[in-house]
Amino acid sequence: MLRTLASALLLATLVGGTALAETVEVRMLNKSGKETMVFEPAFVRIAKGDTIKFVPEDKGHNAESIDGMLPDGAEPFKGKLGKEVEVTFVTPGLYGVECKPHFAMGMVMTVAVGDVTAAPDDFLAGRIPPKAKKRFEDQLANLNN
Amino acid sequence: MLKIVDTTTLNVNRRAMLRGSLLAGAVAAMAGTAARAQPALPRPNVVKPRPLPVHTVSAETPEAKAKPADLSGYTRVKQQLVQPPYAPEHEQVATGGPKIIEVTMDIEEKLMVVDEDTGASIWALTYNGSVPGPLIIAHVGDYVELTLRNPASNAMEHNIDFHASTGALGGGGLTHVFPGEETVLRYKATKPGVFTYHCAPGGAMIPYHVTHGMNGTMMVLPREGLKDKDGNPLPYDKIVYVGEQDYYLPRDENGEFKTYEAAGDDYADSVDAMRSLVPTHSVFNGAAGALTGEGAIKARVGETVLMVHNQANRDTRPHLIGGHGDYVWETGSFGDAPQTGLETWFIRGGSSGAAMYTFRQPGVYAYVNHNLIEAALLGATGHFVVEGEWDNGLMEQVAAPRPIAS
Repeated sequence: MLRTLASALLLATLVGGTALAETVEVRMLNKSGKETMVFEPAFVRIAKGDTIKFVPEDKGHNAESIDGMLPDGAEPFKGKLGKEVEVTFVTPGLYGVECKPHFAMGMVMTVAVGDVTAAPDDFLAGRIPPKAKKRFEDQLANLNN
Repeated sequence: MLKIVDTTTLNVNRRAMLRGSLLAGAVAAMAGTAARAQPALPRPNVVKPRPLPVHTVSAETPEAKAKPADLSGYTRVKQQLVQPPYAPEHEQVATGGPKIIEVTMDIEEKLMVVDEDTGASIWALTYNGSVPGPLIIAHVGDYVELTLRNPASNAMEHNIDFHASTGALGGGGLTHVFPGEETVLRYKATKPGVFTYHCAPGGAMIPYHVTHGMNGTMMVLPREGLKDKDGNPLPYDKIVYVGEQDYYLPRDENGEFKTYEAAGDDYADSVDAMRSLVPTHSVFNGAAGALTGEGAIKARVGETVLMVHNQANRDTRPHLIGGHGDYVWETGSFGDAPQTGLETWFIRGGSSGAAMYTFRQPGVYAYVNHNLIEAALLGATGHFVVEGEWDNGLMEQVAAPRPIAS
């Protein structure tokens, strides 16, 4: 506990300026309107040091970073199937997130940390299922808004 | 609030396998950053899996720089794959020069009944719609050129690992296809024998796909055909191709088998069910009873049958009740002399084996996994129905059952 507190203080100090980091909730769903297998919201912009809480409202989903789709120096993460997980984003930049079992069905989301306004040129260069790629393109359109 | 997730470096490597060599650079970079832990953040006490050396799972597209294969002297032929338990048309003794054998497999995710008595069903993952996938046959020195298609109607990513092939995780690293994609892989059949092939998309998806039916046998015959230990030819009249499939079907709180709306929906439950290592079913050719009754295999006295048995995941021990294995390639290698006159033979999980038998009596023979619990309760039973003349010289009922003479 003490260690947790100390870490929190340390991180808050490192982040500087902003005294309190925020937590944003992202739901993982089998269905939302006409779409199946989705993160909701599918695009989130947060500040450095903020946390996303991934909530599997339907069982069988997880959230994990995608190789080649996170900023240099950022640590990959991987949530367990069907388990809520909180991820604190300490490295600014753009993150692609997938639900492992439903990647091929397009279950992906984009997290923008800080004021990033454009995706790296190679953000979509890896092997991405056609449906996921389409959704990423839609999500990236939010970057300039 | 400042919880951090349990990241595993194994994840990095698994993903590296998934992406093949395309992201080799990125993977190497990430492996480096993964080692630099974020400072002072609390972590759960987890045992980290030992990281696999990156060079074993990714490479800088060596195949892209390699010399093209010399295919001069090869003849192209198409092999029409057929549903198990049948074998495609083929020569036992190769004629002519080496061939490039073109085959096509369409991946189909489909709801299949596993056991009609209980209604147990599974969203099977299949090559060409069958469990096991079709038997492919080549000779040593031939190439197999596979077109693997994953129609857009499917939900999942698939690939194929041929134990008969050499390199790139058995071709698994070069054949990942998402829905709507196809890929073509060509590999040389260098080892004679029967070999398993199976889907291996990465991590827990590997056993998930394999225990949902995505496996089969590739048979590589010696060019001069099968032989006994003295080099005498061992021709067969037909092949019977059996795939033994262990299923781990999730149950609800009442112990009933659960049903799902679509392929992949059972993933989380299946991972839990697989962890028990206790299959709910172990069946031949996809479903309990698939090779009995109307599905029983017909044969004649004097006919020689080569029984090819695939088990991609779990050990098994075929036995032909009332017969034998005249010649048995238990490990599947046709490079070794066959064992002779066996009662029961052992097929290691992750392999195929072959047994040859010439029927000598008419009647029904049960072909079972001789863990008889699995045969009778889990479904691992098939039947041969053999026609012909009874031979009293081999067996005779001297007295029909009658009251014991006092």
